[in-house]
Amino acid sequence: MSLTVNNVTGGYSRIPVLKDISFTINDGELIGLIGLNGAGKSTTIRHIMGLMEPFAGEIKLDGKSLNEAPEEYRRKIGFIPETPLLYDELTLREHIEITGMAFGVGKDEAMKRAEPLLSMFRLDGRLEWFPSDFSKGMKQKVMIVCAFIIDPSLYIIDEPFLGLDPLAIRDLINLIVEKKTQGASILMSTHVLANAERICDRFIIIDQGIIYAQGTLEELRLHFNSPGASLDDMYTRLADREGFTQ
Amino acid sequence: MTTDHLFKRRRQVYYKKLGKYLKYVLNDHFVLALLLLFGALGFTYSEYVETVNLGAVLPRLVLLVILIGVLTIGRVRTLIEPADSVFLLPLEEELEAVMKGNLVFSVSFFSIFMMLVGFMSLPLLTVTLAITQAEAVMWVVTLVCWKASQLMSLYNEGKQKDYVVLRQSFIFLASMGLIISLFLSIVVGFVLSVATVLGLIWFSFYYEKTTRWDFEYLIESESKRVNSLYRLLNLFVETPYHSNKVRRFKWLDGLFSSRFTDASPTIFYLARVFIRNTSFSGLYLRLTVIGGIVIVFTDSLIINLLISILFLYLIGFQLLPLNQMIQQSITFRLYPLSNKLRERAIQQLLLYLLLAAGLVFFLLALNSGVVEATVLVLINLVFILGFIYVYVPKRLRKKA
Repeated sequence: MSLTVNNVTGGYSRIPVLKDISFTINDGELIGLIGLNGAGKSTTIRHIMGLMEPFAGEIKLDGKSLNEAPEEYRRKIGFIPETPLLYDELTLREHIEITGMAFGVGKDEAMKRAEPLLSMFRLDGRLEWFPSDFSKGMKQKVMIVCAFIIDPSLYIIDEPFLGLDPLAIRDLINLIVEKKTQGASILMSTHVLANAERICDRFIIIDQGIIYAQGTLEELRLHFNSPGASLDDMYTRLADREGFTQ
Repeated sequence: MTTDHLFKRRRQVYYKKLGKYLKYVLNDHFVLALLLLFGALGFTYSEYVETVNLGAVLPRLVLLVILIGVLTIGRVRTLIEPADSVFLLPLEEELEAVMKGNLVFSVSFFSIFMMLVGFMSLPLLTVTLAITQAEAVMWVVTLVCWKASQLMSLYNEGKQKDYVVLRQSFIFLASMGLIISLFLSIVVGFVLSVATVLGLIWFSFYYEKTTRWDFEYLIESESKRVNSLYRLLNLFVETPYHSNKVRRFKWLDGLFSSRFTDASPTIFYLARVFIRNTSFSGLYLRLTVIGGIVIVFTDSLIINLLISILFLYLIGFQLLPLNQMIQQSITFRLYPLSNKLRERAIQQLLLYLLLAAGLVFFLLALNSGVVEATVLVLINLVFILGFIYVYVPKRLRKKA
């Protein structure tokens, strides 16, 4: 048991964006959250992160909601947001240190864990840089490093491939798969369907705030009656047929 | 929608926002305190002027330094926004008229301000230089001309970075001009300032024909201007905080290696923000130095007390946006930390910074006697504790 989202309705102001959403993510499972722009992917993620309060329904991590055990809940989640959120005043090294401090890993342990990741993403010579010196892709890499050093039991990854170079995409995929094998749960939203198809165990297809379908690739093929189709094929055909774009 | 309309609407929004903040400012008790302070300063000034002799040099030197300071603050209000570097790029030619309008507006606004400064300095010039009425008028016009020159040189820098040379020459010419006015001849200083302003008018309106703009410079300059305005308003009401340019100051890294800054992520972060974001450390340093200088040169315990408390108050208020930075940070909301710990950390940091400033004031007050300095430090301590533990928590709940 890891993350359960039960009948969650929520959104900005009083107009619901998400309508009665339910799904679970088990230990060692990688779930792809798929949908068009504005379908409700990031809103779902914001609710799980506790940045938004659901109007109805509940979200539990290992049986406890954010309100029941806020610090415990937060400590278990590693978050890679869609847009990198970095501190203008801190260097790369200090970002790693503060993440270590905040999540109870400790400064030195955090640096130790970060070293292989930093060299993998070719950031090791840039420890003294400020975020303003980094490109979009480098900022994204910093977010990835900070999420992986706290070794959480749940990873929430929002559009991780945007702005990354091909080598970094390959390395990130390897990292995600490695963590999954070690038993972590991962929720990843992405538009890069080919990558999602390669690594995800299950998919949640969301449109206009409703879960349209969920299941493994095989289950989706069965559900949509299109044997042998790729996720990309199925999704575009589905979107056209169901008028997702309207 | 034309560029003209766009900026007209921006101006409306901008003044509406300022109006909203101003309402809070006028309702605040601190206005009364400021009025009292200005009254006291005015009174001290008039008393002081009586004691100055014809030809005295020191008061004119002090005036010179103050005037150079006043002349270098203030920018052209452009209301340029970051997105303009994309969306207005093809409309640079239309922007020209808008920017010229901005320049004229800012020159007019600051002219009134400089006239006030000029009038305030007249009593001092009358006693030290025995100036005539005609010279008094020339002196006020001189100050207005220098201010206009400063704004025009900044305006041209928005067109091309190389024009920084205009600003550098302005600083040199204005300093020379003021020295001439104050120590040699009001008339010659006046002629120099008028010549400079005419030269710059010719340069800006007739010579420089390019309609291209350095958007990066304009955006940065406008954000600095709005930031300093907000900092001023922040004395009264919570204003949004925008981050300034950050500097590394590697040689100060030693300050962060203590147990204190490693105790919590909040302090770890804010200590670095305080040092590296010059809008915090720079202001803290300036206020401490100015307060310290006044304290060193004053013997009266009452004035020292008033000054030290006023400056501690100002420093404290300028540090409050540190709290906003934490409140606005999504990353901090995601950390497994309780709000209580966060608030306590902010209070602790503010406390230490104010205590450090208080210590400086105490050491400088020793100049006027051990007993006086001890009284000062004790009263300051009471003020600091009250500020941190009573006023700050209450103030943080008041929002615009």
